[in-house]
Amino acid sequence: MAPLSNINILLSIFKRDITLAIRRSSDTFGAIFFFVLVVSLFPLALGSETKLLQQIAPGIIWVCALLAVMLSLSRLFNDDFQDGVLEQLALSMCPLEMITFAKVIAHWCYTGLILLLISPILALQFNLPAHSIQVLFIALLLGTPSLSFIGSIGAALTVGLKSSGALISLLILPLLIPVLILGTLAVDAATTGMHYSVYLYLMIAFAVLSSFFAPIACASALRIVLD
Amino acid sequence: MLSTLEISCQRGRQLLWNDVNLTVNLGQLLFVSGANGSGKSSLLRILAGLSFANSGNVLWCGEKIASNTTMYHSKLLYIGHQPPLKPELNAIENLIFLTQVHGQSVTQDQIVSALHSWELQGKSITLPTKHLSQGQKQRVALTQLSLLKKALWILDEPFNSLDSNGSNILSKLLEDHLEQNKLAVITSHLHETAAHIAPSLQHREIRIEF
Repeated sequence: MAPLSNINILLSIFKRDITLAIRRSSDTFGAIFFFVLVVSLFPLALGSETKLLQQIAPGIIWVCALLAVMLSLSRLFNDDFQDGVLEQLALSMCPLEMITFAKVIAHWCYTGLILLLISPILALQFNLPAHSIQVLFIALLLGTPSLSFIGSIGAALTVGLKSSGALISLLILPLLIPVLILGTLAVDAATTGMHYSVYLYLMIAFAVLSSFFAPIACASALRIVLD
Repeated sequence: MLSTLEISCQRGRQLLWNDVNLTVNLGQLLFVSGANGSGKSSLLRILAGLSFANSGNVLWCGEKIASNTTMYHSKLLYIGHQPPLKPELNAIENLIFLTQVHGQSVTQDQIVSALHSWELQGKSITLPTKHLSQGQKQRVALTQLSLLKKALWILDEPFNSLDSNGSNILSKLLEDHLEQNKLAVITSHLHETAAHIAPSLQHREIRIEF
């Protein structure tokens, strides 16, 4: 029996999380449906005033993406905690920091990535110009990983609590305001024909920092929960 | 090999036990007994490095376990009182995942034959584990004992929900394990001493009672 390297261990955790997300699809895609429905309600409620819709589109899509990610976070570590798998993960030869990193990447794949892929279709309802839709897509691509990573800290801190959903939002939403502001500003700038690249660079910086520090914070929180 | 230096355990404000000094040598079994809530599971979790003692140290081969966790985790198999299985995955998928998490790659054939040795076959290994009985889940979790070659087993109430056949298989595995000069730590409220599990374990047993 050959010992596996850390990379193989992480790949197997990633694959398992994706498999589980597919098998419990009603839960996973609940958040996605929430996103699609809520975003679609706005054009229906506000009527067909093109100018207004174009102005509010980035904000609405970003806020809904934020809330959809929050909805899906409560199960990130809690399920593994409830059925005792988290203990086994903590006793793996691979450091818990890297394991949380793999789990968050998997979480992004079954939430953030899907939100991102359907966002151009939703943006059409707001009559956004093609160029702005492109920027929205890139902004979501750079911003949603930060949502998953920073959100994971909240998920790790609330493991084992009964009604963790509301608490995660309270803890994490304030920390996500920078992503929200940068994301909407980038799309607004594109719509009004101004330079938007600075916002995208800042979002990359945010994503890099959160992907480095969030797993460390998560692993510490999970160790405290298991103690 | 596995020893503790004056460890104590406090839960909330209550001191459960203190100044526990133990040494488990090669081929020995530590049998932990005590009433409910006396801190048996806490001792096992501290030995596994999942919880931390309020004072004192746990040593593996004379070295603090906190100083080289990767090495210690590569020797250790801990199974808590709950089988660590995902309800959506079947027995084989669960075991592939668990063995990989412990850093070993095991083929599907090896897993199927190990499950056979626990008298699990047919539907019980292809259905998602949420459809299995508690005893079957426990058997699936304990199949890790045969698959992973680990030097130290820490098992919290492994005989719980096993029928007499299952208990016999586990006793046999424990005997073989200790025969190979490896170590085990177990709790069981179904047995008073390790000799009740299997007579041959009598001379290998170290007991601690809370």
